[in-house]
Amino acid sequence: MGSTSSMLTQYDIEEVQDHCNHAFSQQEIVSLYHRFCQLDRNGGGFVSADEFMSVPEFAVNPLSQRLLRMLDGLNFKEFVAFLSAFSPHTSLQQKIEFIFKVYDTDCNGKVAFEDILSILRDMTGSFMTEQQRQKVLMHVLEEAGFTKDSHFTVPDFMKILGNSDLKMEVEVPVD
Amino acid sequence: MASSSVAADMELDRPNLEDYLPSDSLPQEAPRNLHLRDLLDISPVLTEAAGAIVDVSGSLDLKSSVACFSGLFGAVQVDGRIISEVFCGKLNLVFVANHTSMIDFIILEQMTAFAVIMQKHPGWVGFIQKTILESVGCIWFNRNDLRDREVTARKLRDHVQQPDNNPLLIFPEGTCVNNQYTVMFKKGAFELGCAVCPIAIKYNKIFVDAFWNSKKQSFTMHLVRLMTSWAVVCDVWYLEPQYLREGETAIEFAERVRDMIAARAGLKKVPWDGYLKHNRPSPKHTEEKCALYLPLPSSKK
Repeated sequence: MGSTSSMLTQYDIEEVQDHCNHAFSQQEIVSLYHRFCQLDRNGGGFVSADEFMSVPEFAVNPLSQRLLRMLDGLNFKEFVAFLSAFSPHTSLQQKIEFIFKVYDTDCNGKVAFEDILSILRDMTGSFMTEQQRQKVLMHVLEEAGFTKDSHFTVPDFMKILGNSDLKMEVEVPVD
Repeated sequence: MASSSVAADMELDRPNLEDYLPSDSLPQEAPRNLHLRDLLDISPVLTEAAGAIVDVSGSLDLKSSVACFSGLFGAVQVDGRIISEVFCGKLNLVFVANHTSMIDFIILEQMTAFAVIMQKHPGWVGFIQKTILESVGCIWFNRNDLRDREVTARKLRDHVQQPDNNPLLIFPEGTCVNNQYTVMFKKGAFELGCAVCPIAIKYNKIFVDAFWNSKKQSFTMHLVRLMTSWAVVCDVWYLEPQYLREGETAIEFAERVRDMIAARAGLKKVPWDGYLKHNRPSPKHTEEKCALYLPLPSSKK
């Protein structure tokens, strides 16, 4: 689709829909496009980190920086694909894969103790000391049969999170 | 500062629980054990972020609102003691007393500087309290120690009478509960011989639903500065100052104020004592405990 066009053709909608495996309906995609254009203030065809950070609720999110790394520079098609993890039509497996990607900062398919600690740090901020975080993480890992040197893969995450009642859905407002 | 060992005594003013427990008592919240899946599951926080991105109705002005991510925490026992309670970003604002009381203070502190008297809790909340409350003058007392009660009551009465002191902020529930209910108010705050200014606080559940909803709040507080990893959206109502009426007992006064607050914030009233929630083992170190007091109308802000 055209990168600077502000018009969404039927062809574009279908292409985007395919790309996200029909996670969203066509009306939802149109809605997301309006939102994308709203965010993309300079009309560059992608939403920059600054433009995302201008959304207050996003800016105060403890994981905003991590998400920015995944979001920065995405065009509309990729933007929708990113959000597809939050569609009710997406499988638990895909949602867990998304979560894994958030943890796996160097994108090597492995999540280590440091990676988990890093997210824990983002989430708890100054409310826990580094020492407390490490102790708690160690304890929780050991209880689950892992060690500080364990590396987690996507299947590991599936095993750990697969049985939980994990809910990760966002409603796309449709006029 | 009065320090004292943790006493097993029940408070004198604690009502007979059997009189108040409904026949089908609400279940107590036991301290949860934290598991790896709880720690790893960041889905609520991610959902919040995605919701913010998708919200087409226009972003809320940061000055007037902040989103809340806080919620569940569990206890981790290491070496036989609870050494830390991990703060995980699950969005269902659960029934966590300590946690909520901390937020309440932070919210109100933004509006005016209160001299805070807080109940010090074990675990991470105590740790937070120590960090955040260091700058505010505190009066500490051990709620469970009967000897201290007289001394503290006197200290508090003295404090409220000094025009230069910051207004005192009290949460007479003694502990904080799920933001759906107000529990019986302890009468202590109503016996100080001063006006009671009720403050109703209601957290907005919209921000804790997995489905993002962009409805605006009636009144919201700005907490970003204090909270790097979580923040709160709530409604806060300052109600008319109330005075002890002729022939009214402290308990009746307490109940009357509780009715006002419950009505304003749309909370259900529950007769059971908030202390039912306290079933955590206390850590071995000595604790200084305190209570929060409501501000006076005549106090300087």
